[in-house]
Amino acid sequence: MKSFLKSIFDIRRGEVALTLLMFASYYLILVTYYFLKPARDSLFLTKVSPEMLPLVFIITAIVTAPVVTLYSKASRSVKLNRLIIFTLAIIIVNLFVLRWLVQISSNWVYYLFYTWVSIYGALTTSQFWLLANAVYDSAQAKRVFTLLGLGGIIGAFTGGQVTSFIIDNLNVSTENLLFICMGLLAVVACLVALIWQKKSVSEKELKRAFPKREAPKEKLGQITKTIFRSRHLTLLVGIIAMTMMVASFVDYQFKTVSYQAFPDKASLTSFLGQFYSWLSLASLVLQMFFAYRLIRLLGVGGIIMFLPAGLMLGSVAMFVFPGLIAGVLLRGTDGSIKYSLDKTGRELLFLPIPLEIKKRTKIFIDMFVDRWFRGFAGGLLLLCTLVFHLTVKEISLIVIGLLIMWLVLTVFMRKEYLNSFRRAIEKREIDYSKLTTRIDDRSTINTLINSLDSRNERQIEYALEMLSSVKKIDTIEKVIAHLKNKSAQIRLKALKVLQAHGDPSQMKSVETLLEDENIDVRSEAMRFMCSYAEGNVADKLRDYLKSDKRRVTNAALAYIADYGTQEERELIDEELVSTAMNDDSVESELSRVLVARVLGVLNKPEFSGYIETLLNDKSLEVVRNAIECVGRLKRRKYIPWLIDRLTDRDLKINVRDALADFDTAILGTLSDYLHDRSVDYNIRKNIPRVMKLIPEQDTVDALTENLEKVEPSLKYHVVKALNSLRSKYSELRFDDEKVTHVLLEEIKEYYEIYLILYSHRQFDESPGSRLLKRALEEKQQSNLERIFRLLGLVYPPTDIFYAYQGFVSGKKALQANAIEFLDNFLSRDVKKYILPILDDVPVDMVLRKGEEFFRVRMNTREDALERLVTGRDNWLRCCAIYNVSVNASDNMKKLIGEARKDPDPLVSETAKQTFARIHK
Amino acid sequence: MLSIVEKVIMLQNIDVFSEVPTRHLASLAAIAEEVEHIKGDVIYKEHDPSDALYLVLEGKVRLHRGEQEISVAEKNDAFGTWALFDEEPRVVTATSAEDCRLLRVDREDFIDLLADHVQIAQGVIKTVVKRLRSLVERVA
Repeated sequence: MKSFLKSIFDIRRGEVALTLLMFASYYLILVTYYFLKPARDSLFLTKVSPEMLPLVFIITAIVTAPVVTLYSKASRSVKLNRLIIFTLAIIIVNLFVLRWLVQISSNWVYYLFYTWVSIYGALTTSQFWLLANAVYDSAQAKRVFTLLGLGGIIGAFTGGQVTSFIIDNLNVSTENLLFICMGLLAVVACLVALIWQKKSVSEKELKRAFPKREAPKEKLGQITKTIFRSRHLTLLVGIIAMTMMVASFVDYQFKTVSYQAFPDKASLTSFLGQFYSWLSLASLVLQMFFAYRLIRLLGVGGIIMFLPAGLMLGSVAMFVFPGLIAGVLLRGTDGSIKYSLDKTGRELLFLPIPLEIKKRTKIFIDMFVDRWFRGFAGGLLLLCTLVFHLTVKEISLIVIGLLIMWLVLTVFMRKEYLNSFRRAIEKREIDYSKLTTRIDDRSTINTLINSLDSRNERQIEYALEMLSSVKKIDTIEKVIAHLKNKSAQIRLKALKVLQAHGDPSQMKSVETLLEDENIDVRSEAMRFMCSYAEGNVADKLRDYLKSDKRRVTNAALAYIADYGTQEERELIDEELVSTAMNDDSVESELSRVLVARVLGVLNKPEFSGYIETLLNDKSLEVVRNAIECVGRLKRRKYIPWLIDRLTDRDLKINVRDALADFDTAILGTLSDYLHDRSVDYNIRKNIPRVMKLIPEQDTVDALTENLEKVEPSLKYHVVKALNSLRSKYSELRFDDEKVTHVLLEEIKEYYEIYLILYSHRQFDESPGSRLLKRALEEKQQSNLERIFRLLGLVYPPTDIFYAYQGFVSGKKALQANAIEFLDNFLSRDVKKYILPILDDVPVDMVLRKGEEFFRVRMNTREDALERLVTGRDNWLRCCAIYNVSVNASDNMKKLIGEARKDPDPLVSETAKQTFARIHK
Repeated sequence: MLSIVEKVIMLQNIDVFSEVPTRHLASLAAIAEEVEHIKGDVIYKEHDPSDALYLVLEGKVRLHRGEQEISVAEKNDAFGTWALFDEEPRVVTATSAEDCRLLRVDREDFIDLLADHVQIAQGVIKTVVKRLRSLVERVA
């Protein structure tokens, strides 16, 4: 029971307030939905007619998908909190309008209301889970989502009960329930604002850990191909299609018999309120008390048979005794099992599918399978009721037919699931870090346990990783055996499984690992010892820290650095640090690494002197950890030291991360370095790479500002950093005006190079002339790349990327497509400059456009050469200087003379050589 | 003594560097040194460790296995190219057939350079991929 409660209420420090707010929001959202749902049904049934239900099913199926698609598109470009609050405001206004429209009492209003409530249900629920996914990472999701789901079920129960109570006892009309919903939704909007405030504390980490990516654009045909190529996915889609169709039929049968039993609006609303409310409770009871046990007992294959089997019983009852009791049994089975056991079963069916395919399949199911089959069921029902005038009893036969097909599919699925799972483990296709569901199914767990006998080490590692998310393992012996595995990674993962499953009887075997050769294994072993130690943990840990075995002391240090609580960190004192620093055992290097790691979590000024020593340590590993420590502590005095090491091949990755740890506070300093020409170019080149690791609006602004300030060769690195931020973090805003300004400068440069190349069209065959031509063409190529990169900051980056790929492919058809795309896509102001250089237009026209737009003009080849010699690109200057001949003009000779003193050694070397040649 | 620009003009003719942008070849040129050998000098022997690439600026170099001549490298020809990428020992001996001037790119320096100039690595990979593709097409 304790572990059961822990699985629901495993909320950790710092998560309580946020989770309570999330719980309350979901609760209220479901309360409002269960106010509206009975109101929707009873108004439609009493004011229109049950026969017209199929039609409203079709309308709902058609309208829901585009609305949800639009919403999910908006969620990628608008900040989520704003989007949710804005949507809630629209919903409140809609409710007000609907309440007013209901007074008209015209049939179309009830169609509208029915459809609107259905969309409301889908939209508010999906936006809540979007919010939940943004607020929690996947590890938190595993612990918290069950509790949030519980909030929803309690909300649904309360909503239904309160509806019934209000209608029966307070004499409130069904229509006026809408006013209560408006008030509750206003509260939800306030809660969302509060949640966002709480969330923003950890938003930066969240952004870094889970950068948003644009959904891949894939044609329907490709997704369908992927699905039909996999037997597993085909069966899955088939089962979901059957679920949708049967649900529509059952809903129709239930609502028709309910209306026949309660023809009066108020009594029907009250009944439906009660029914939906108890249905939620039944679903909750099933989920909480039976789901886990049943999954362990019957496995996924068994659990997915529950719903069709239950519905089969209900349908037979409906055929034999058509009426309210059979209707309640049928719809009750559908509602309670579908959202508990069956939902869990379906999620597990997705487990062996690689994440990318899973995402695409889910989109396909939400967008098409759901819509088509609901619509199809609506059409079929219309045929049954309006054309063939079938009764509820006769419709049961069709449902039974569908259920037989469904059951057959589940039998096949049962076999296929295990095959797919085995294959997924072999190929390691399941991304454990992104799993949000627990693996409880006994057959799946057994497959994992059996994988521990594999000879393939990576497969064992993988199975152990998956097993750490399993709730209960009966045969832990195989895991324990791996504590002695020769691979440190396997020992570590076996320890993690033991840690997750809390088995104190293994203390002895684990204690030996405190002296393991691998420090991560030792740290994990120490964690186990501290987690399951009896008595005061701090005292135990102190003993380990003071141990005369260096390996054990280091295990304790590593544990404190990795997992230590504040109290445990306080155990670190001067003596301990000094001893570790002066350790001369074989572990001396590791001891210093651990000091660096521990200092990074301590933040005690009295240890500052050690950081300096560690940064200058002879061991690279120690220096790397000391750099990380500086980043964690955000010690500004080390910033120049770090920046100087941005070009150090061995340290630059750690340095970049450490600098990024300073967050936006370092942006000013980085910008100063970026445009300070006295700083080594290679260091400056690395600055944008650091900046892009700080995914904030301030970074975008600083980089955009620098776009106009830095020299052309650095501009490329700045644009690249901006591109990276743009493609990963869609909520960041880019200053279109500034970017367009830089874009036009690039286009101007392109025209200039075009003209220079044209003026040199009769390149002589001398090696210098050929080199200049090639250098100019390369310059033009990189110029073009920058133009497209800049376009990617103003327009959707993926589209621009594909257009660029098409253009540089060298294939005529792809180039034409790219130009056609840009012609339709770019604003008139931008495309008028770009298209002449991309399109296949005569040279004269390009030259004319260059002159018209940018006054780019060069009369002679000498003019062009002079432009290059005085330009900003040092390599082109060298190539041009090299090409200056004895017959050059006096002005040119003067320029060459001046270039001999150029600060760039390459330019001065070439100028000296040319000067000597032309003055011979 | 060649200037950097002149060395670039030479280096761009080496097949494996044909896709490296010229401005990055300038960095490569900076590590390339001129060496001179008199006729009969052994530049490297078969089974020696591969440590450098050579480009003939002037003169001729004989590439042979024992007495068996494999080829002769003349002006603008490169030899020992794959020494930059492959640690396997030399498969031939290189002997100057006449007094010659060579451009030498040291393997260690080249690897250091690659670490800081990703565009050079990209250019080299591009060439290798092109070769591979044409091979596949030929086989197919």
